[in-house]
Amino acid sequence: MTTAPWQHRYAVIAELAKLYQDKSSWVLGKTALQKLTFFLQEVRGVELGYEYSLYSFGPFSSSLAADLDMADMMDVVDVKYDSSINGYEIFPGETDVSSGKTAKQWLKSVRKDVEAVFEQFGTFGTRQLELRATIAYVAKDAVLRGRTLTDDRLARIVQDLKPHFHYDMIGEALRQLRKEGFLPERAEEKPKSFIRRLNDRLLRG
Amino acid sequence: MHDPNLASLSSGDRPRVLCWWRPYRRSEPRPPHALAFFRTPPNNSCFGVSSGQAAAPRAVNESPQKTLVTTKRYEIRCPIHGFIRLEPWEWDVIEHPVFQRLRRIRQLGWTDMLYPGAMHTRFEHSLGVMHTASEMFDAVWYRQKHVLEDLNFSEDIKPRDKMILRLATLLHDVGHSAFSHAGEGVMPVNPATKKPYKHEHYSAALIRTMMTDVIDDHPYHKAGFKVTAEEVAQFLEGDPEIGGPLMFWRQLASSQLDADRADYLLRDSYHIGVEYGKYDLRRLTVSLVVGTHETGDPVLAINQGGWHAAEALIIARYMMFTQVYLHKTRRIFDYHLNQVMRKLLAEEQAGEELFDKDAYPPPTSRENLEAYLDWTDWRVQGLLQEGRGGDHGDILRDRDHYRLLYETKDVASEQEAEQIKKLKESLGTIPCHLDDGVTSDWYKGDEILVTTDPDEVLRKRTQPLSAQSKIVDELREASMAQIRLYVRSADREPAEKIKKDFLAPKEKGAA
Repeated sequence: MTTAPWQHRYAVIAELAKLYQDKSSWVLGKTALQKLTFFLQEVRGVELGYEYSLYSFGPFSSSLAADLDMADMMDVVDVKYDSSINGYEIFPGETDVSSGKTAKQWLKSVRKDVEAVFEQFGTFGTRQLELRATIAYVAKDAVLRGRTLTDDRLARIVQDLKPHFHYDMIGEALRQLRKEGFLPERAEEKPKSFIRRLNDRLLRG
Repeated sequence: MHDPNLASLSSGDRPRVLCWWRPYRRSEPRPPHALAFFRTPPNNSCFGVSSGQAAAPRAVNESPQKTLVTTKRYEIRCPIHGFIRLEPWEWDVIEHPVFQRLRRIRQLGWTDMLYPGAMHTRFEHSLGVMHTASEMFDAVWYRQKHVLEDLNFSEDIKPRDKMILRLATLLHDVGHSAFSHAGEGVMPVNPATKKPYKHEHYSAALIRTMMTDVIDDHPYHKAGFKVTAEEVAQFLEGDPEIGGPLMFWRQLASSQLDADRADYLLRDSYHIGVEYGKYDLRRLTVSLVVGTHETGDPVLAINQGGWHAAEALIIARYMMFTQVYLHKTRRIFDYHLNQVMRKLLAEEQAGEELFDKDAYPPPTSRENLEAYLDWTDWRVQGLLQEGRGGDHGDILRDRDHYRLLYETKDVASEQEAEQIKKLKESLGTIPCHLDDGVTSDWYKGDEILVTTDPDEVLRKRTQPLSAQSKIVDELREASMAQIRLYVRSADREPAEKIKKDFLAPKEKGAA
């Protein structure tokens, strides 16, 4: 799949804002947009041309941040600061960038992926999204570096980065991501000791 | 060609300044490297090293902390920061040929064609970034010790973290190609990501592959904190395995508040002779604190009282981008350089086993990295001097660059984008260049966060700078995604006529 032109990327931002408006009690925020787009590109394979780097607050693409500002300026979306929640909210705007022929066709081809990401993660708050995106980033980064990580090792790396998350919580999120196919295949499948241990812990309460 | 005599010199005989020295090839004997703190330090240098007392040789089992107190320090004069202090082991890193090569890479490519003062190099910028990052690190520890300790950033790991930060920021640009960013259009594509490699990939690969002698094998590190080149490369790459504390400090190397942009804005302004890039770095530095991101993670932030300094930084970036970095004439020289580089690389690498002969060798082997290091401004200029580089070589030699024929509004609509592409097609055989890379970058990145509470005892909540500053909020939306069409200066007249005819029906229609 070729990389989406910049107008098409704005269309994806607008599409996510619309999905939140129509189907969720939450409003799309800047951090959530970063994480959902990360899943869309890095896990679902919709090539948007963003490059993600890992920061202390999770995977982040500066190009996506710039695209959001541009989309706001073009009224593709309306980005408003809400002091009560101390954050930005992204609403659909008046300009429809998907009205062009090529943009419409392209958006149609990726709509299923956008909806799948929304269905999977649209109900999570910022912290939970952030945790899941970090797990997925660490897993994919390991594959790119040719490293084999057991789930236990993966969870420990994430916990080292984010000590405010309990190990069990990381493990549960990891297990869910793996079950839903949001983590890359492991190069070398290790015995399922981690899952077994996790289940034991859950059973013990 | 490399002078074989140089390789046979002992470390004591070898000239101190290696500015003419081409990086060694694999087949050549490796020159012994200077280990400055075992020798009498130089008492003069072309880049302003102060002379001082010679240090007594240090036993390798001495603690590094003690060494820091007892051995000779070096200071390099910098036009932006005054004297930049160096530890002896940092001096050895600076003397390494991979770092010395940065003397032959100009910071702003061919910007001197527009601003004649833009002749500064990545060498001085890299020193400035290390210095700035170090000052920022100390400022955060000074004001936020209790907060950092609460996050388990212990005093024990502080010197090691600082050492990795200083090394990483010093070496962050060693992977730049000839003429810095201007020459990045000829980077090879990484088959794993299907995206072109960036200079950061070369920096990390060079540190891992070619700098272990001055990092891992250096007696200082062997005896002390055992910092490795691998760790420095991982820090620059943002490898998740570096862990939480280093991931936090990495923001000083890569974020809206990083030492890189903090240095280049001031340095570029100084050398170019413009005032646009100036802001209060000292105020910004003492305003750095640890805040809380909305995800709950610790994040580098600006103290409530210092947000105007951060605002000034963003204004400086906006001005530098609109007035310098995205200037129409500066941009077209990037294009000419890339055309020249494609031709030169194809000719010079004709016999090599490379997938893309008209691109740099990928950073996948030591041999490739050595070949990459051979490409510097000097080599390209030497080839240009010989008359090489084809038509675009002539353009660079004669400063007869392509001229702007037409540009869209600051933000091109889809219709405008289509229109300018059709105008290009209507030029037929007239050589031209469509530049669609004029995009806004001045607030590209994570939001700068400002603390909402003046109390400094606890880690504080934050809010985005753009929510606090109306100016930054407006600049955030003053984006650019412009498309420009250039033609050869010789074709300007017929091209203008074609453009007039192309636009005429629409103008009449509008009337």
